Amino acid sequence: MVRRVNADLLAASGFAALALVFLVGGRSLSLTAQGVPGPGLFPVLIASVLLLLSVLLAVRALVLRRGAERSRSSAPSPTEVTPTALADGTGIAQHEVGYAGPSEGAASGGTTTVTEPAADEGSRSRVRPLLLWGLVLGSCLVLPVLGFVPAMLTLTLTLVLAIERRHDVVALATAVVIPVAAYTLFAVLLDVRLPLGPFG
Amino acid sequence: MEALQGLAGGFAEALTLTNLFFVLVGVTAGTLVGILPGLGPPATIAILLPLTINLEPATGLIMLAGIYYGAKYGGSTTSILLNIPGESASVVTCLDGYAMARQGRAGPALGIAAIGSFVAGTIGIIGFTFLAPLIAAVAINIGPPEYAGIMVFALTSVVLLAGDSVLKGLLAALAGLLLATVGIDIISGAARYTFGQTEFLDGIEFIALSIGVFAVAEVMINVEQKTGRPIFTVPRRLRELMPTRQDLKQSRFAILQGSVIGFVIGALPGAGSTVASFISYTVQKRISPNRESFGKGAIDGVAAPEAANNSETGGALIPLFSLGIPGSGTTAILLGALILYGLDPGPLLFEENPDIIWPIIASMYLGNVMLLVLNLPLVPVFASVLRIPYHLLYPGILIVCIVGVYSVRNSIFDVVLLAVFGLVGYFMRKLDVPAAPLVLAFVLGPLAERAVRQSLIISQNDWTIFLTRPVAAVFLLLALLLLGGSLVGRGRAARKEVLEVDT
Repeated sequence: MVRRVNADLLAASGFAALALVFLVGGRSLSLTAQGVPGPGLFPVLIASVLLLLSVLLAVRALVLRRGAERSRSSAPSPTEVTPTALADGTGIAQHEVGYAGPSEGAASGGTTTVTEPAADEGSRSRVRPLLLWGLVLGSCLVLPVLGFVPAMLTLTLTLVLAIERRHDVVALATAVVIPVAAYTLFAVLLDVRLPLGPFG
Repeated sequence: MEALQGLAGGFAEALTLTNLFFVLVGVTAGTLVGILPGLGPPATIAILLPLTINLEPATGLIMLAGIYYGAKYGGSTTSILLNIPGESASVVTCLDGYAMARQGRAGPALGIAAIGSFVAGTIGIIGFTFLAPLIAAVAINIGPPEYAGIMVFALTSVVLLAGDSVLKGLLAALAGLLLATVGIDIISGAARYTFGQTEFLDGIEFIALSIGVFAVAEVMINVEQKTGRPIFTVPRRLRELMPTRQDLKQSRFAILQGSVIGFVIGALPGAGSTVASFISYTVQKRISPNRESFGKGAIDGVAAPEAANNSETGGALIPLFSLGIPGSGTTAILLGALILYGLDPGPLLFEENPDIIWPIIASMYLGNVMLLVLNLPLVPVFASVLRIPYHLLYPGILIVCIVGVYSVRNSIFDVVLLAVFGLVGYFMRKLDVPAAPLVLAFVLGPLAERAVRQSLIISQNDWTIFLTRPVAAVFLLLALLLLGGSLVGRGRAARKEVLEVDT
């Protein structure tokens, strides 16, 4: 429950920030032009509603937190196992399994249908995805400098060696083959112009 | 009667070994290229068009038709297996298709997509054959106010996609709408939210956004765990890799409904397969007996949008062939191909060139059949891709995503955006904010805004135009009912939750 409240508060702040960026950034756009809606009307309207609803989300989260704090003394295992509690949002399967720790009442029973290796719950890492992301971003940035194959090779090899920490032949071979195969498929066969870097 | 005769003649022409061969080549090439994200049907056709130049017009266009169908099917393969929406129409398939894959049911999902596509494509072509003149007459009367009504209805349907949190779904949708305003405003020419970057003048590239938010974020989520094994269990028995009789039964109506909706919406120039697949999904979610499992792996949630996506093809040909108006990117390229071959699309196309057009239509039936014949046996093969240990799979996924995004505009900026949206998508997943409304609103928003503003220009800022045009008014009413119904339902559930917490 607490996790959900914090998540909602974070989400609300993120959306509010986005709304503010668009509200401030759209100051110079005219709301009407020759009597009809101008370029600024829709963005400003949408951003305003977004800001409003973000506040609403934050308020709702705080109200629920207060309610949960009150009920914590009476019921040890919160019964708010309604579908809204640990929503999996849209159909893109969400990973509630790892996060529905004992304090949240193992609520995900009905919502999660992922057949994941259950034993690995403890080894969930917050760092790996962000490291991965940093690598992806980095390799995208060096793409024009190094060229496609070298940049992607750097990505795959670093992934395999540093993130996955594997040194077996299959993994290394795959890391080498994938960028080369991708280049052959896209640049050679499909005529997509990929950055060649200093080798082009 | 005339149509039947023409069709019969078309079949006679089309059923030559050469033509059949080229349909097969087209479907195969189309599927393979369509599988690659970023290369949707328009790009696929554009890439393979040069191959067809040296052929006879009828044969060349027949091959193009095969490519078109193949590319549409290829797009749904990656959506289901890897949560990579190769084009905007595939986004909806990701929702339940990928959820099914995670449950080890990728095979049935792929199979139903193939079967649904086949049935719907056939219905679409039949519809085209017999209804073209009628639909063309109606489509001409669909103007900006009607479009505005349809788009507003579609946007309101986003509410239904929000799963269990309407508020967060709405927030995501609004964010999508905002992001879509970046770029040059088509009506006034003003540059909006470009922050001085020339790359933003054309707006945020859809593929960078959708693949980032779906596929890259998915990889990031999966990497949280040790990735030594395949992340999904894939059944070994062939029977479990294909749709069961129960699956087929459940999807029957979805396919039918998707076919009709896809066809009708396809006939409206500019509406496109995204709107078609999305509206069909929403309708199915409303009427399905197992609507509770929508978003978590409902097979009719895959069948409906896939059907709509394919019958839209038949519908989209109507404005193309009868009015010379291309309704979407793909049909624009087909238009180019027609012109290249010396044909003149328009009301007289059928009268002046029946010997070319009818074989093309006949070959679309053939292409459809070929698609099923080719892809159904391949379903177990595709599904087995998921058996690859994830640490070997995901670098490939990332690279394919990067190339796919880069290939759209040859832009590193887009690739960086891909990474940025990957991070955004990751945080959305962690914070339980649904991503589909963001992506769909991003696509629909500009269409809606343009339609509304055009309508107001036509009516000289008279907002009642939306009420005086019957079709527009009907759709707006439907949108209101939808919104009202959803909010009332959620309101009850939310009140219950607050009450439970308070006691």
